[in-house]
Amino acid sequence: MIGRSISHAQAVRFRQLAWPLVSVVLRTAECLTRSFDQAEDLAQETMLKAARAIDSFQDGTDMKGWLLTIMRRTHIDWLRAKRNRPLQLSLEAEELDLPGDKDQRAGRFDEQWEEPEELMDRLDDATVIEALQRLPNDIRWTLLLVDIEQMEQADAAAVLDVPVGTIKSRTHRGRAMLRDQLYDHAVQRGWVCPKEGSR
Amino acid sequence: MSNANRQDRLDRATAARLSKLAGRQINTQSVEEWVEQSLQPPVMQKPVRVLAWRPWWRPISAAAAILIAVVVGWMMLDGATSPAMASPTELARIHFDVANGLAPHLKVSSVAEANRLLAEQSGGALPVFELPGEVRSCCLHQYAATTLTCVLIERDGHLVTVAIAEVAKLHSPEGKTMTRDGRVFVAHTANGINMVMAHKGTRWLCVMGDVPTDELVAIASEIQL
Repeated sequence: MIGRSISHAQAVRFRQLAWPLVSVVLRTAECLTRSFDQAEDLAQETMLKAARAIDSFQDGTDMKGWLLTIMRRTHIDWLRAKRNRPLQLSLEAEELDLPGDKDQRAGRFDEQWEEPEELMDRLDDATVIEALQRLPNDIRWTLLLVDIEQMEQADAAAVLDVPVGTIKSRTHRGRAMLRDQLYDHAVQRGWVCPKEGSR
Repeated sequence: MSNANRQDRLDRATAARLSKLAGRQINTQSVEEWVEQSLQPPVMQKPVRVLAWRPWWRPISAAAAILIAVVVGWMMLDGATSPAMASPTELARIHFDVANGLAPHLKVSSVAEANRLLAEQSGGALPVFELPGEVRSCCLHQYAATTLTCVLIERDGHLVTVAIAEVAKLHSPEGKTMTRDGRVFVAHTANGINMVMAHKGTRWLCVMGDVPTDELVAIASEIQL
């Protein structure tokens, strides 16, 4: 629960500027967490922090970027808290961000994609989200901002506090990593047959 | 298709699929409600309106104070003199404690010993007369602003608690009535414990245990109050 309330003027400003983006916040949270309950918790915490800090938002700047910056910091706090609880540490890529994962041969199945558009459209949202959730955190954030929320690379770079060049390379690598995840899924469904010697 | 073109096509297909996630419907109701609730300002207490003292209130308030004092005094007096209603559930708990030695008790082997030790414990202990069974222990229970004198007896292998109080302090709740030798008993059952209650003269009596009600009535009718 919120520790302190906000003034009437702050509430009005928050509702006017941030409230319309609650679905963006929750949608992003869903891709960052493992359950919808967790996503709701993350979204709630983000919105509350935004409400408290609404005075620091500068008119004319990007509200979506501002909200997602708050969410990213909140998410980092969550992950740090998890790391401080070893017994609850999940051995999943999202939480560990192992360096090896990032350097894995991204796009190793790219040669296998015959009709990428068609195959991509066969995949339902839940499958794509699940694949996203398996990606390393920084890669996933980049795809969330650039490809899902359609943010400019410069704006995404500001949210993630990295150079634009990093966003470009992460975007490219992230898409390839996602394709690898999705290809595995397509093979399991029998939608594609791996060419001999490709795996 | 060149490798660069192929890579570009794959990237565009991937980005296009991801962009479709932005259009999916998501239920934000729970988040919105929670945030709305959290943003509510704390409920402010309405300022208390201080009533100005007016001269003509003086006699009215004095009369009201007297009236309140009389009513409260009458209620307290009435409460002090009215007997409390015995609770079968509470009595069953007392029997359980007594029979299992869970309540502070004195091991005795006769009614005379029980009376002597109980009298030493408290002036409020009511003397017990002859009981139809082997006396095992005795104790005093504070219950409903009175003192229950409890004696545990064993009869035909069953443990039975005999509880006695002043009828002015405790009376029986309505229940199934049974008559034996011209005496009326009220029967109850609570938590698997049967009990019969009766009063005679200034005494209220309850006999309870895990035995049939008829047997309890037989025991109670043998007790001379």
